[in-house]
Amino acid sequence: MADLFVMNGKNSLDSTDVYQLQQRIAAYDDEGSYKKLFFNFFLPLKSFSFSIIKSKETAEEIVSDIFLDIWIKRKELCAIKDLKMYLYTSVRNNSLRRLHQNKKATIFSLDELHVEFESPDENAEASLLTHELSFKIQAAIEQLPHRCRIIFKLAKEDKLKYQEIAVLLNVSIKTIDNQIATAIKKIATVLKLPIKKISSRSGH
Amino acid sequence: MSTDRTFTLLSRKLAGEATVSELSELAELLAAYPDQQLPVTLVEEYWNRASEKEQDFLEATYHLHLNRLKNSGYDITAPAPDETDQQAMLLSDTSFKKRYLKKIFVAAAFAVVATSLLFFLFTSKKKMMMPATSDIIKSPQSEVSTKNGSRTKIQLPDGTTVWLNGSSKLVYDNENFGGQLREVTLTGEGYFDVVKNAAKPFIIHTSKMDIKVLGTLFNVRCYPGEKNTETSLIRGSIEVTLKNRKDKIMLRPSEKLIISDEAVTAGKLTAADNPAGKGIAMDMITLRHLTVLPQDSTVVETAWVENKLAFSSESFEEVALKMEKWYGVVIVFANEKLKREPLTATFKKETLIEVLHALQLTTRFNFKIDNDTITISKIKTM
Repeated sequence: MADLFVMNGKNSLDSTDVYQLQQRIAAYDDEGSYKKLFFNFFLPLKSFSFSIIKSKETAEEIVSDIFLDIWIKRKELCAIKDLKMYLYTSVRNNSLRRLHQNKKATIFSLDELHVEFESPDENAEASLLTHELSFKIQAAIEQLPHRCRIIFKLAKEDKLKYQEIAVLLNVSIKTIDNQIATAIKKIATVLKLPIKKISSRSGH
Repeated sequence: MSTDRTFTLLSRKLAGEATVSELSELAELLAAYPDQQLPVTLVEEYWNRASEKEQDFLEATYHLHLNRLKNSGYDITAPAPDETDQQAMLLSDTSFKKRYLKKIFVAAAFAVVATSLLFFLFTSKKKMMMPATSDIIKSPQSEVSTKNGSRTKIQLPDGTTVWLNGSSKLVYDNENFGGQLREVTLTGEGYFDVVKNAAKPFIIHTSKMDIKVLGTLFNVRCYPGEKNTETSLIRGSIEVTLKNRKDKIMLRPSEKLIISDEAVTAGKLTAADNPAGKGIAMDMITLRHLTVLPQDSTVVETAWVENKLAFSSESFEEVALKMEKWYGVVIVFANEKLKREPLTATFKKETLIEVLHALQLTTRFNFKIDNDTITISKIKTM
């Protein structure tokens, strides 16, 4: 619990952490906790909104608006039992509404999403994943269908559960299970090839 | 076929959706097809790889966001504690906290025994306390106080435990305590283990500041007549509101907030002259890390709870104030220069005489005992 209030580089907050922040914001108007929520969720939410709205500026505005609302209604913040899903759902709804205003497009199709992935941390410790392999993975992901990419991204980067992705994208859990396995298989395949070549070459 | 199954299982594992039996199935598959091992390892590494930290971007975005909030009529930025005031991080490892909490546990057991032996007052009085505090306090009061040289532990109706150091007083409202708020008023020094209750914040009023908490462990020292009022946080978090000032200061674990008497006076003056005069008063408030003695990890600020008398690089004058409360004596200095002599030590069972003799090992001084008064004087040179 103590670690919660230390601003460190730790990646994401779990649901208990988030609820504690909610309580602190509701009870004390605590700006520090609000900032923590913002830092934790802004980028993934912006990215999710961007995949729908396809404009970084609008995506930022949409997420900022939602956080604005959170502060204004902070006294009732503890009534939200699952803030993470609340945020994602709000971003989805507001992004779709905005899209609707702009383009008169009425149907939300997963195949029209524009999904961008995070860049890896270049300063992270040297690992098995060389630049070359990273590049191969990137290329493999780019070839995935849009539907597959958004599902894969939400599971990997946003760390959403299958159930949460299913609710958010209105698809079945089985679809998610299949799509992520497809993506993983694709990535594993490109990682496998050069090694086979090397081993067969050295074998002769 | 088996490779497809491998990737389905691997996906579930990575996404945190796999069951125990699926995990062992995956392990068996990998054992049966060792050529899959490397790509699987690489995929796992890819999945768990840290992504670029966009801290600067976030800071800037957050700043813009706060501006938007401000333009909508919500100014939420309270001045944060100044990081530059902080000393080096002394309590870095969590193992320390564990050890420390164990000690607290032992101390608690000690205190229970001690309480039955100690002489303390527990009286219900009908009188107005501390006019500066909330106006709720009007009905029957419970008051617990300790004499110089005695310490006690009490439990409040909500289960919160308070250790009271010598010549301290804790007052709370018998009827309203725990109604909507849990409010107490403290003079002297108290160590609080507050039971968590998010719906009912716990508030401690002192003459210099109010402290609002949910559930935490911390120490407050606010003796009248002492220059500094201090709040030291062990775990959890607390919010300190200074009297006469609007700003709130959040403390993080192992931090301590010190308000010097001049600060409060200066704060009053500036508040009257210039409501926005934060700058001047701000300098009088210091945020530090708790002092931990390297020999045995004693936290100086809360050592008294464990029946330890501890000080670290404190002036003889400050040490004397602690000793007065500890042993129930009066200490007088016959020499001004001695007051500023810095002292560091920890004592547990030593008598007053033993402590004075021990201090004489590092600092040259004479002392004379006359009933309850000890006079510290310079050693006359030949």
